[in-house]
Amino acid sequence: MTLNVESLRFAYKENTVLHDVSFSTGDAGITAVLGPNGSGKTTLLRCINRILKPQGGRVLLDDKPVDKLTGKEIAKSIAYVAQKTYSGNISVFDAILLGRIPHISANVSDNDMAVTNDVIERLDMVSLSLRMLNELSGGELQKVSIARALVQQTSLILLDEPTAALDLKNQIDILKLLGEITEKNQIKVLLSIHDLNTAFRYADQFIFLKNGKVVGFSDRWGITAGMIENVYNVSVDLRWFDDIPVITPAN
Amino acid sequence: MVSTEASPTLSGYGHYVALKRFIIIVQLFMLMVLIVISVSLGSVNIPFFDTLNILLTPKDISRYHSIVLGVRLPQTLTAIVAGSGLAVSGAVMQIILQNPLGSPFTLGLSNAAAFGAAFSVMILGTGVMHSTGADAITIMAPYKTTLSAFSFSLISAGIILALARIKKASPEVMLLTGVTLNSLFVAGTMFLQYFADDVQLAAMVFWTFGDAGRASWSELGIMTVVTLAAICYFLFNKWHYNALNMGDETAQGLGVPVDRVRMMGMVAASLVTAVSISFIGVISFVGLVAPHITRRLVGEDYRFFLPASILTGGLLLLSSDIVARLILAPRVLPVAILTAFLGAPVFIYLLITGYRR
Repeated sequence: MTLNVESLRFAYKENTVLHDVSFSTGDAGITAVLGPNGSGKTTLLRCINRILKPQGGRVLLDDKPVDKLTGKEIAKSIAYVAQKTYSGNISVFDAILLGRIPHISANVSDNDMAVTNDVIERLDMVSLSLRMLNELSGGELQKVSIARALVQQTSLILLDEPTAALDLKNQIDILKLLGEITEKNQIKVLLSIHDLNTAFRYADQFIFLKNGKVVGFSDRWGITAGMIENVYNVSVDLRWFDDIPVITPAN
Repeated sequence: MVSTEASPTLSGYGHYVALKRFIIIVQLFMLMVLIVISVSLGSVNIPFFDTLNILLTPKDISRYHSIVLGVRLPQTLTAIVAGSGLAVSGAVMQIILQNPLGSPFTLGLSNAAAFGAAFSVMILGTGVMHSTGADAITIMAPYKTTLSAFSFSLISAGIILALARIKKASPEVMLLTGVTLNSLFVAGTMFLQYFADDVQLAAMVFWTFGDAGRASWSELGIMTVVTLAAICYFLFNKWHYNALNMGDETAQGLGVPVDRVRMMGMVAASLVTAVSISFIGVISFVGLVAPHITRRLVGEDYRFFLPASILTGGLLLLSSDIVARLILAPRVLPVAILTAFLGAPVFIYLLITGYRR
């Protein structure tokens, strides 16, 4: 599956948030959307699965325009993991089972149960499955959200800052998990993220957004200090560590 | 439904779901027992077996026949229908407004509907009032009265919805708006009362506290139809409510038409509230308390939470009604006075314990 975004435009009233944003995921498994606060990362993700309706441009999944699909059909091909996680008095199993909503007609089928069970086992969450959400830590809740997206069985998963609330270990776990998913299941992942060094380590290609415009698009090898300085208006040093670029603020 | 194959997760989940089903079945059983108790107790106590006999065989063989079918049974069923309707409305409002303090009464819908009903009876002349006994108001045009009550409760619902949407209001702000709307519509009712003659006035005061003994069989019929229709709609949307529980964006990402679910849910909840209030009067707190009790019993998976809330509401209002009938016997208290007394401490308890959903 390839995601193609063609000159996407979105504005909240007069305030234009996305100007003609175009890119393609190509063959890359994980594509990271980078950029300062307010650059339009979240808006971009939400325009792709039409939580927000873009005013111009097109989103194509393998040449299929997304705007021709119904909400349910979109949910069968694109999963969305929101930044904020909600808890409550429901079990982890039930929270993950919700990912089957686009596939459920009236009642849960054996297949829905089997898919949910499979994802729970794969993500090592068996011991959690009957715990209540309001007993979980932030990292566990994030994992539940990702599990829910996997249960949706889509070819594309959008994640809005999946690591923002997590400690180092959980960040690494979640991003490694996403890497494995993209490799094993031919799923594409598009995520927004603030931590550049983490992004460089785990994502395959990078889109730099600034004021709603794409100002850089590159794989890991193409990252330069100039690119970062242009996007964030800070001077940085770039070093290579095990073939992975590492950014530090310049003195 | 769940085969316990080899997976420990699935068999564990199977037991977890079975427990919830069991709780619902127990509630159903309790309701059955309570119906018989309710029919047999009152100013005239009917022996248990006579009650069962009359309920099970429709033939007129007992001297209690007319008390059972003419008075006790309609009152009992009215309490169940009104209680379930208010509880399910509360349960749905709490999820669509993401507000654990939501209920028809706390958000001002109940008093708005009461004003609408009074307005219709006084100004549009849809009811005949006489202040004897429990039937202080006989509604001549039930549809018109309900429609008027419904319109006014929709106004309240609209204001609350707009506030939730545009201002992203916190639960506390919504509640304060509900308080304001309550006092506005109570003021409106007082205005009407000022111009009422003494017979009408007595009737209207009577109406501000709901009484399950007020509805006739035909009114009960209308209430039942509307409440059942709304319950079907709510149950049809159970997965949507579950998704909303995970936040708007997640729900939208799952293909849930969030705006429509919210709007229609609020309209249906208003309708259920309006129809029960236009026939039996305002009953406070059942819509708030029943979902909270239920949440502790079965959690908030709406597949089980909705049916369990419906049963809790019925149980709660029916048992209150039985107590209200007996507590000052031979005087019969309207049930709303009792629920208000019970509801206030529970509400304060919820505020203290942090009313977490």
